[in-house]
Amino acid sequence: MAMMPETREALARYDEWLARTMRTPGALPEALKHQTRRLERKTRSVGRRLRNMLLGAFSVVLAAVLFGVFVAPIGFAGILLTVLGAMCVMVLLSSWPAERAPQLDALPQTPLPALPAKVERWLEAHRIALPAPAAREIDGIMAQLDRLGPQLQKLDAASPLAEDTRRLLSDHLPRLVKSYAEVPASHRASPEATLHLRDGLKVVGAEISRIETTIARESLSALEVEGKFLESRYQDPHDPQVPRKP
Amino acid sequence: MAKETKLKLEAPVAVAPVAIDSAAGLVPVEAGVRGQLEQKVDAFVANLVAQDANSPEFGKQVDRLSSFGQKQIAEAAGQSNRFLDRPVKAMDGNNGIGADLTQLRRTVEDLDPSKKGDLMTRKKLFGIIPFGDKARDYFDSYKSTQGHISTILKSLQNGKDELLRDNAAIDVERRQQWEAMGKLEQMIVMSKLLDAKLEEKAAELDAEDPTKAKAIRETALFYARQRTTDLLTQMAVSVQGYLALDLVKKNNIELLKGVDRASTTTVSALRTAVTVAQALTGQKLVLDQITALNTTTANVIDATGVMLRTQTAEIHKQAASSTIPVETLKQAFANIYATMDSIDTFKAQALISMKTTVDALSGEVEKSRGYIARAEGMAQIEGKSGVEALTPIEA
Repeated sequence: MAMMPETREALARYDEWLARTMRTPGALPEALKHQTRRLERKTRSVGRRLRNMLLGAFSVVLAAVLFGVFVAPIGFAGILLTVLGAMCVMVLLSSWPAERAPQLDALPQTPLPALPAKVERWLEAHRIALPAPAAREIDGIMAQLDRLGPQLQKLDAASPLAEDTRRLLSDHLPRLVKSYAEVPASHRASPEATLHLRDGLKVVGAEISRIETTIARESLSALEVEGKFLESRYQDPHDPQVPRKP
Repeated sequence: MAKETKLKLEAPVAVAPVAIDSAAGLVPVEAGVRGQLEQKVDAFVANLVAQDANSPEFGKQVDRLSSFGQKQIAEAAGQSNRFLDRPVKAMDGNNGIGADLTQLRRTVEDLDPSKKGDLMTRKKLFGIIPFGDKARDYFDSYKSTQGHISTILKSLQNGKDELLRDNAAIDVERRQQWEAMGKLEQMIVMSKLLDAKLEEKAAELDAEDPTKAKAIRETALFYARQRTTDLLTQMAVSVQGYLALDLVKKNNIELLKGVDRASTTTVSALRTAVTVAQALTGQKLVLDQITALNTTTANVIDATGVMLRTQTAEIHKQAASSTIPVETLKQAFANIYATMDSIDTFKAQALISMKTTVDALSGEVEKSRGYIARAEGMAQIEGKSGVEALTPIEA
């Protein structure tokens, strides 16, 4: 029996989804890790807000006490006002300042080691607009960005590699995501758009891996140099087993 | 004083530019790898010929040729430029080993017995009244200088470690450069094969499909030839950089010898002074630092340690027997000067050959930079990394 083209397409999509979710053993932990990271960020944000709220309420009460002691007794109405004020401040500080995704224009000025975290947050904010099939690539890139930050600290900001990294993270990657978002909504879900986006994201992922490898190679070389130095400094060249006598 | 073997530090010869024609083949490519490369090239050519000459797919294949070897060239270029970034250590008189040697020379000159007149005469107040012992005063000056000398020697030791570390880094860099050159060589092999096979295919197609033959000649073959030249240019630069790194290493080794000898001769002179003082004034010259120096220097200079030990015995013998022990001391100082002079001569020669090498390499790097800029441009166009088929074989 001949299959309808739509059915075939739907089946292919299902197969692809199955492959994405089931066949990759690393996918689940990766997604879990991603969840954990998001949760961590949330917790940190909530903690900061709570601290702000407490500090705000405390300063209102302190102001009222100081006023009562040095200027004039505040009376019952004053106490009521203070409580009201403290509550207002707490409510206000619970949602202000709003957590804002980093702006693209600000990215080029960001110092390189802080860049991956910012781009990660930017990506997180735009994630909702990206198609589900690209989730794995996005998760992968976000995990890479998470690792990359501390590594970039070792990198000389003027080196070509640093410039490559900056260009990739602050320009090329956001541009890819933006140009996907600019595809009219009616065509965005098409397999073609998704395919282009995923291909692009894969290249970005490969490039970040390359950067990671290059940085690691530099450290490895430095380690090798130290080893060779110790060898030439302390080891008898004729009999490498025996250390040179002191 | 014991006879010293004359120290001769030889500045390595400057590295001459490597001719582009002779650049290929310096790094061997194994036969097995060569076979694999040939297969890759065959597959590529077959694929290219199978396409319609006007199709975008044909264009895509040709594009791959235009960026062929670009990654390997960039990698090798990064490596060979490193030599130019590497500061020529210890050649600079203002810091590190150069400064230490200058200081050592100055300190030693202050102690030089030949500048103190006749040590055997007694000092006279106003030139008339005998007052004090000149020799005793002279040997006293060692006590005040010994701390200084030992600081300089320690600093020289640190400088030596720097040189050794530098050489270790050069070893690592040279190994990496060798790998980069290996990949470059593979790319050269491939580009030459491409050239030959495309030419052959174009000739075959001349009769049955002249349009395709023309397209192959004008695009694919053109790019393949251009890439061959670029790869060969980079290879020449890389080989030159590789040899230049060896030059720095050899320089460092010579300098290490010089520093060793400078330390040995200084310690040896101090020891002689101790012995001579004993013979001349009956005074037991106690140099606290000397004991420390003896151990440290002997550690430092394993090869010359033996020489030092035999020397000491001889000095004792000579000083005791010789009627003119001051001469022995003067000879010890002359040895220090001879060492310092040979280091200076070496530095002057080495600087010249370094400069020649740097100039030659800078010129070559400048040439290859043109390609790098072009390759950067191609990288922007290329975008996707679909060049998998034409890459070197990883070891």
